[in-house]
Amino acid sequence: MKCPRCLNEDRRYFYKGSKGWYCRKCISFKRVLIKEEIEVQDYAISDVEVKIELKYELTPYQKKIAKEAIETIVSSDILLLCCTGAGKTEISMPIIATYLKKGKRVCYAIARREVVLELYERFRSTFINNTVTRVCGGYTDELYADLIVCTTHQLYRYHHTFDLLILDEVDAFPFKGNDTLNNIALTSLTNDGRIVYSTATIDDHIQKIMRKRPLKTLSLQRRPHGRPLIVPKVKIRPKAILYLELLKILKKTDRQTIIFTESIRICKFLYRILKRVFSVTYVYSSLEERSANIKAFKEKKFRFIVATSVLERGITIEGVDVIIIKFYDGIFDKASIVQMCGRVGRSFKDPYGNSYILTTSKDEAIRQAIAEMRKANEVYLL
Amino acid sequence: MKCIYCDEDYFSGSDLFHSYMTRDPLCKRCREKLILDPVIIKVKEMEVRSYYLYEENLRDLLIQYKECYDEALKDVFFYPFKYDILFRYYDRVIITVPSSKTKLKERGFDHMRSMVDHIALKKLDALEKIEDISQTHKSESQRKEMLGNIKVKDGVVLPHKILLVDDVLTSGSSLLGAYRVLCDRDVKVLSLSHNSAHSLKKHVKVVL
Repeated sequence: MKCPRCLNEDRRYFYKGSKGWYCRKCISFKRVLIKEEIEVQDYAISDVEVKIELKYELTPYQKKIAKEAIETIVSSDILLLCCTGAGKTEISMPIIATYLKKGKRVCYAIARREVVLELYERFRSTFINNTVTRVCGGYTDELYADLIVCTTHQLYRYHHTFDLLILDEVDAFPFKGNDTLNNIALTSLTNDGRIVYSTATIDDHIQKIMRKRPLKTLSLQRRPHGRPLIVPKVKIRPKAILYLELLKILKKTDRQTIIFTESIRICKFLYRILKRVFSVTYVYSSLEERSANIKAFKEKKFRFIVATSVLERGITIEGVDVIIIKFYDGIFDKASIVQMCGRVGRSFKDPYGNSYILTTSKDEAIRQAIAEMRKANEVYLL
Repeated sequence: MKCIYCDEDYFSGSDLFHSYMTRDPLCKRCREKLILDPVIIKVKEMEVRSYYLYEENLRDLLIQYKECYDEALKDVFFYPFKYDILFRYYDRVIITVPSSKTKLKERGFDHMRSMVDHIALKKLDALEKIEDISQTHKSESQRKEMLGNIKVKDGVVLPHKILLVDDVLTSGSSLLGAYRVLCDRDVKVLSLSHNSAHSLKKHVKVVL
């Protein structure tokens, strides 16, 4: 027996209900019977001239990678390995355009809902003639358009539909380490459909995917403004002194700063203390006014923001510093530390900045993350 | 052995009694997340005994069962109260509140009926809905119109002592509709969970 949607073959997960056998591994996406044929929705791409309007011209390096990608995607799938802020989205735009010109179906999927909403605006201002839709929690009424931007959880709606699927931020929770989501992504492709994984760090999960389905790696370790990644300064102190250290850093700087914490509890606690002295706001995933707080921080109404890992990915704020407070093992891993430090120095105007890691002990994740950033910076030495 | 809901090890975080003396399909961690709040609630002329508080975790569990059609979860809900129900209502016949016909056809099973399947009392399919109206996106005033939407099936002889069962008590209108249809018999009413608005009011608290 094999589930037609999540490709699960483990017998533990099958249950015989009153309508027949079904798979319980992907049950949170509604029941799929084993013998059932899932309906394939047929929709056509609108017949207009595809036009790309970018705010910035692509750099020669980005153009080269994009050209290579268009050539290789005819024959095999791609793993796009770019450092943070290298412009993965911009590189994928020419690939999407070539597919849309042929009248094929394209989807751009990403693990986080906040990033979907931001990318939707960006794609809409780029592909002016084509229709773009966003599909994520809260926006599910318009399912079909020329270009679909969705969360990885919504891919179950599109069975055997896409000719090209671009999966961004593969190393992010909840996609990371989740075989069910990856299999659902694979079954959303047509038989000769192609998939593009794009990520900043390679971990075990992606290596496992690569073993099953051969991917061709294209890498770009250079930011468009030509400045290296900013490697964080690590400070190892006891817990109480770390808070003093934090106050000292905050007192010195005149730049906007994101303070990353490991849990909602620490986030609330720090906010309660810091709001008496500084102008500060806070954000975590279940906070109702989270988008309002992020917007206010982007408009420079507050100097500091205390955040959990919701702000980790995909969000560009000009001229920020980053402070990571890390008490426990196993919550922030290599990928998330690299991503958090990647928030610094993304814009053309202000490619500089500082990042700090305040920790009680220097563990493997920090060591690997720093090594990876140094390795990515080696291209500038050549 | 794995927990049927969270798919993690059944025995980790459990105690000896829960591991070996009960045959609870949920692991102890999942079971403890559901908030027990036994209470008797008065809705007009009807008295409802309710066990759980209807909050986030129970809602997720019910959604997986009712909306994602996960039939494997059918025994989970009434499991800890199996014997409580059996001894308290030993001479009664269970009648469940009906769901709409379109939903029934889509699911392939009556969700309330299979929920009480493992309780060793007699069951009877006696009620049905007159019109197909979904209750989920209705306001409270619209829900009151639901009162007259339930009838007894043709050709069913009702027993004298009845236990009426539903899953969630919010406004109470669907239960009240069923109660009024059966009103000439001796009816006791049972609900799996109740809204938090009910638990704030002063009701008789029950010791299990």
